[in-house]
Amino acid sequence: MPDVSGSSDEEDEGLFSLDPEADGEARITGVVKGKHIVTPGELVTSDSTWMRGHGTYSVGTSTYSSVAGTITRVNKLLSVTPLRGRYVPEVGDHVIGRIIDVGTRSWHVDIGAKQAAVLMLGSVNLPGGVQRRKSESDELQMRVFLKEGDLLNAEVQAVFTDGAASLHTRSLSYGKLRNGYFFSIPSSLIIRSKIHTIELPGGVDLVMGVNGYLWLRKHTQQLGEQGVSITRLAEEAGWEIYSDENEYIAPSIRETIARYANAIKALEYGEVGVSEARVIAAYEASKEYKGVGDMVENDAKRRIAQQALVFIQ
Amino acid sequence: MSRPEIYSPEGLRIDGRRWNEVRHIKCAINTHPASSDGSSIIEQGNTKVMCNVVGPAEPTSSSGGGGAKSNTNSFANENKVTLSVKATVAPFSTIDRRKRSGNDSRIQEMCLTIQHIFEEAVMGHLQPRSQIVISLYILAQDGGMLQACINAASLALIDAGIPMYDYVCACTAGMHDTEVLLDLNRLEENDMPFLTMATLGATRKVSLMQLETRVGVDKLEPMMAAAMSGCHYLRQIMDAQVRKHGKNRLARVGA
Amino acid sequence: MPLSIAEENYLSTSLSQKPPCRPDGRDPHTFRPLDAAAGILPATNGSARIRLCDGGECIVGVKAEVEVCGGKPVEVQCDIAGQLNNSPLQSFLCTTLESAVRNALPPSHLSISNKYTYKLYIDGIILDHVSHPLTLLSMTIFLALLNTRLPTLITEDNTDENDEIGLPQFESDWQQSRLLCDDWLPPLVQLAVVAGRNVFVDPTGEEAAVSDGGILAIWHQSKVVGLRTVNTRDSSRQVFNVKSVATAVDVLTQTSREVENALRKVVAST
Repeated sequence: MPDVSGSSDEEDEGLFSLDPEADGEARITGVVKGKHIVTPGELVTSDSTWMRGHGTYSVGTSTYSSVAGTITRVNKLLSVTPLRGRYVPEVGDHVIGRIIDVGTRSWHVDIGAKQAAVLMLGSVNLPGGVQRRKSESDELQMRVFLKEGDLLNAEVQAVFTDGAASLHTRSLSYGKLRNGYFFSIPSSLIIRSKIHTIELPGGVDLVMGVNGYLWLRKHTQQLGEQGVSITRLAEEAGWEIYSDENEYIAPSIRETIARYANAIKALEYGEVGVSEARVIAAYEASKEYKGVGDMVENDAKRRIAQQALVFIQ
Repeated sequence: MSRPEIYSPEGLRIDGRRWNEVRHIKCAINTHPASSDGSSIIEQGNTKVMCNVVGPAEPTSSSGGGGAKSNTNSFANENKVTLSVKATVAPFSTIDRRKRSGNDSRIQEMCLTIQHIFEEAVMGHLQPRSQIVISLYILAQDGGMLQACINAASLALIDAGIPMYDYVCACTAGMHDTEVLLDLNRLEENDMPFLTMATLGATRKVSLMQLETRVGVDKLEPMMAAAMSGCHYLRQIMDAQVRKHGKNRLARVGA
Repeated sequence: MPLSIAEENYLSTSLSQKPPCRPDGRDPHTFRPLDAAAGILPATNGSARIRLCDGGECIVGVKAEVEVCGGKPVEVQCDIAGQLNNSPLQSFLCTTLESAVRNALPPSHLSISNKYTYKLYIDGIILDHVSHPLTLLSMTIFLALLNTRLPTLITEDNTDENDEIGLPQFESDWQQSRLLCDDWLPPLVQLAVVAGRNVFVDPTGEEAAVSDGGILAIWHQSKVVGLRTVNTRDSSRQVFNVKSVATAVDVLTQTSREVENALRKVVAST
């Protein structure tokens, strides 16, 4: 075959040799190691004892990467985590979603994944309590509970074989969202945590979906916090859980919500993972800017993201 | 005015390249993070193509192939992903302004070609009931539009984290008398028979071979050999860019 | 995708209260940061690209073609990603901007000879838009026109014989070309949205969706030369207070001047 040459971007020149030596060495032990980037079509290992997970495929006994990303090993399972990608739902994840479609016995919910999630009528609390049976009239008035555009938080109950999620809101901390503001960041930036509703300084709550969808709202006493037994509450849960009405929200709270939103967007700009501590740190760092609107400038975002990191350390 | 010489006796082409040199390549990925799942820009010589990939996502009526399809989700495939390719040729991309209508048959055919290529390269069985929309924007044309589109789409799909068997890389090769010329510009394309070839990675697996002009059978093989090694060379450059981006990204997120 | 009722209420109350609170805390008269570049496409007479921080992006190329006098001097066309040709939004953008540019353009600037003239083809591609694309497209066209150069004529004499020979001859050296905008500035069309008594420039998509409606102002030679209401939401609730319209004119006058200066700096630096 003839040789081919060409000119390419000068600054790239150094990258052509992809350290064949290092690669060779790593393959002796079976797998390319560490935070090394693998790209589609690259041989990951020719050792057939590995189990092949996401982001890989096999030809014969060899395993190749199918995405550009880093190698993850859990016991004998080998997978490649892409650098970028959509949210992949897992059972137990807390997510925020938006209703895109109302069906006969279920809702379709956008959660930023490959497919829309399903929320079955049987997986929500209806006014009248847990023990209440879902009747035919409930099927007819599904739009009364949740309609197109409505936002809710929920838990991933199951994941189907094709990757689609099914959700449930059978807890008082789940359900329709109100009294606040919605925005989203890439799901890869969310640091998973057991707590998904964070009470922040300044009278604001952050509801954090693992899928990168976020809801900032005025802090309100949640039903569960009033010291009544949960079962009783669930039974008493009335129509208000599906209410569209906001409570009165003071202008100062609205400003605090805007400040938190900008602080989180600053973290996103700096590609800093978002956790409770980081959000509070970024909020504190943002106080340097008197006007909330000053935080939209790129310099300000960069600075806040940096400061949030320093603060944590 | 004398006609410019396509290939001089000294072995130089109009733009000063040798027969086996590809044009200057510049490519970048993740150029439009806010508006797409994956994106890329590629410049091969003076040809410039931008690509946005959205998906895999729930199929919607508005993003359906060209928007002309039915407004139901009926074209969601239960077994594998639905790919749709759209190309916008900027009216200012050619020397003389030309407004192409959206349903120009040549452009539609090119979209279909690209769709078929990537239906093979993307591991579509992993994303059933979902859709990937590849939008191509041809901003400047100086030969090799199809190859630039394929390369741009390849990069954008990788940026989107969509599983693929390998890069799909494309390159053209032409035959001037008895000389093979690699990666033609517009003047050369108009002057000689040429083919566009796409390979799956640096292998001998050909995913596209397109030849639209008449050429002697004996000349086909050297053209194909040249185009194939051109593809392999392009894969190297594109791969280097993806790795560079990946390293930068890891360095930032890890910090 | 529609907003939920609670979201919509939250946003519209925030915007219409005194003083208003935008979701990103911006001052009503402040633009979001944007990324602008001119002269990006060598094969055009003038070109520009503008990218907003929400992902909205527009690329404009200007081509000057030699044509026989008598036709339209300017043609504006645009492609909007994800929309079919001849969508209402597309024709609104094209007609608004075409007439704005045509009215602002001094006719002598395009003429070549008695018989021939330049015709400006301004083509925009809107790759993505979250907010209303009018301001975005207008700013990109402004930049591209500032960047536009026309080749100079070699055949100076405008005699009739010359016309019979055929097309006029031009200097092939690009260094010798002249700027289209040597002693005039292109127009700017800016959109503001109204919520109650408040007026906001550079509205985001969600702001426009909950606003009472939009007002566009055509700005040329330091004056507002045109005004129109624009529907920015699906429902037909588009009623403004007269005072809001007056405020909008004031606000747009002020911000158009700032935008004009900022964009001129972009071209000066390239």
